[in-house]
Amino acid sequence: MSQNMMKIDLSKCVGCGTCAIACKIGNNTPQRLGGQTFNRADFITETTGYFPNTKWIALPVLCNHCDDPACVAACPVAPIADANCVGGKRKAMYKLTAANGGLVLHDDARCIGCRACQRQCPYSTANTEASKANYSVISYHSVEPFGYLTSNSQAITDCTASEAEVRDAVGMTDLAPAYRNKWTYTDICGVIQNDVRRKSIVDKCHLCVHRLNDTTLDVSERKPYCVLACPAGVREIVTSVPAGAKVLASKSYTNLRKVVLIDPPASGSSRPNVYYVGSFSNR
Amino acid sequence: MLRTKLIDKLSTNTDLIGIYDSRCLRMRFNKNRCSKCIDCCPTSAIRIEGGLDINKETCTECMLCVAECPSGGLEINSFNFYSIISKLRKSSGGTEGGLPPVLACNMQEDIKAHVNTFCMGYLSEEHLIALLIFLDTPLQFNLTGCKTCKNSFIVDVLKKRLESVETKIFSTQAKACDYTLHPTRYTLNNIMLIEDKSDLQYQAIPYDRRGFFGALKKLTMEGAASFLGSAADQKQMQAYGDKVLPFKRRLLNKALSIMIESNTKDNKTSVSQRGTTGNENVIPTQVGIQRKEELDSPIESGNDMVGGLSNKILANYYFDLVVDDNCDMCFACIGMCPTGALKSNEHESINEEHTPLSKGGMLFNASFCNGCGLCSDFCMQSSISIKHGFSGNPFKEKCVKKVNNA
Repeated sequence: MSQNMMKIDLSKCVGCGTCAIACKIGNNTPQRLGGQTFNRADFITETTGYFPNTKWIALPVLCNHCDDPACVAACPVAPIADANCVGGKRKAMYKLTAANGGLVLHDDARCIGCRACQRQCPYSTANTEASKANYSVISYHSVEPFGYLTSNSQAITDCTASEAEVRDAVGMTDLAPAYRNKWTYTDICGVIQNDVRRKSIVDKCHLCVHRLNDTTLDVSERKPYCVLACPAGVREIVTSVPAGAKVLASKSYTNLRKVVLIDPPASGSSRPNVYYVGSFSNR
Repeated sequence: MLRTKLIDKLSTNTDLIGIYDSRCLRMRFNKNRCSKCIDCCPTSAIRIEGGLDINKETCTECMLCVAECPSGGLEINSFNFYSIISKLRKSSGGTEGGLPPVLACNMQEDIKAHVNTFCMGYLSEEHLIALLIFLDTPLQFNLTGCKTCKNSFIVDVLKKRLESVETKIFSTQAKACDYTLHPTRYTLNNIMLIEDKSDLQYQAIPYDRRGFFGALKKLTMEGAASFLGSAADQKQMQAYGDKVLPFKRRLLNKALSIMIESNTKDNKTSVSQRGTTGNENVIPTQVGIQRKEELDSPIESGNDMVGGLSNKILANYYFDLVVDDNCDMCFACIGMCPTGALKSNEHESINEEHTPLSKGGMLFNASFCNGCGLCSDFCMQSSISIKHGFSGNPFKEKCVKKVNNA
């Protein structure tokens, strides 16, 4: 196995958002809340220019699984010796060696929820509302995920039922929604990747590692949900850098508000592994 | 379920000292250099690098590390200290003339005591203060077997801890004060370290038939409760995001809240009267939580002696936290804090029971702070400073950082 990369062909993408919905259902991520996007597969759209010379682009955004990840460097948790990780050390945020797929993964059990990774990540911000950002690839669970249907307030006091009463009445013990996709996967480091994440930890794309390495699935199915769901075949898992590929500019250029694609920088960056090729034009 | 639990319990030889990586300061923050457990361990059985671990072959189970660990990373498995306090209260005979109860370890066979526990190295200063406050009578520590024990250094350690408690809490002025309710209760002499067998005043409790069966029933129930409860407890604690207050701090909080309660209470019901009427063996467990709202006023009012004592405890065992203007409100410290002393009220509006102080900001609860300093070490703006000593009500959350809602 070698470093997993994602190739996104912008000439095919129309911004339908199927990838985002597939990811949300597949990975049980909650709704947007308090400046947290919880979109492991997000997409932004941008309209520029003046009529009639306008230009519109859609840009899928996800964790770049960088070669030199700032989030891993920022994680304050004491490292555990692990030969499967880069540098032989595994923190709560860790990068697998290229021989193991090279993904940047997150250990929910060891995460202390300090959000240092979120601040240091070139493509994330602690609060998208406060910084007026369009996306953030790392999100933080400040409340219990799927904590809805827990309110005790009644619309008309002593007349209508509260959400919690309704939940009890139908015998719903699990706070997860009905479309919850249940899975548990233990990765090569022995870290359990799970379906619903608990409160006060961060949440990021794991490139559906539980599907990539699932030998029970057909080979054509061993792909992330976003790749499988895309109706136009925009996304593709590749193992070498595509010709003419560009990468997303970090937040120091864009404040995560604009779409800026740059040539892959040789140094001075975290060296992202999501590559964009082509361009879309509606004219 | 019971059967699988029984098999689990019997097949896995549970260790006396539970190791909780997630609470260890060094595990939470890789730049932390806390080495209290290693420094105090007489046999160098503890290893921190690459995961907290105890070498069972060299460990003498003196429990010094359990007392030293500031964040509860090492705690005694399925052990209820409150049951020891309540047994000691029972053993005091209930009358004024009864001999003081005896506490001893279970390291040797022929040690006379009302209550046997592990090697007493786990009795931290917080434990000793709690014993002084919870027990109405003096207490004897039977240390007569320590001379021949491999853990003989415990006697000196206990002496040092008692001295430290005295200098911190019972200064000469406090001693001179006339405390009428319990003339000897808060003096250091209430805990007697007995090293010589001739000094020991031990009186076995005579059991009639009713007493015998009553005790048997109680023991069985307690045994069953600890047996069934312990396995589930251990599993819950392993996630790093879970905030756990170390036991010694919970104990001190309870002792302090009882002191404050007895102080703010009407003088008609004195401490001694409450102690002898009704459920004297039941230690109030919910005091700290229930009375949080009523404790808004500072602790000065009421009995000066108790007020002075509780203020001394606050000044010596509690911590205050100050956030300066450099804070950029990243609130990484909230995640770093191992005990949950820091809290964000950013999303309180979702929870309807709470009415937030302001729309965003950081709350600090001094009763949860063990002064480990992880927050100030980790703070990227270096804007947090921790001060030794606290004044005011430690059980009330105070806002240390406000967000301007422009």
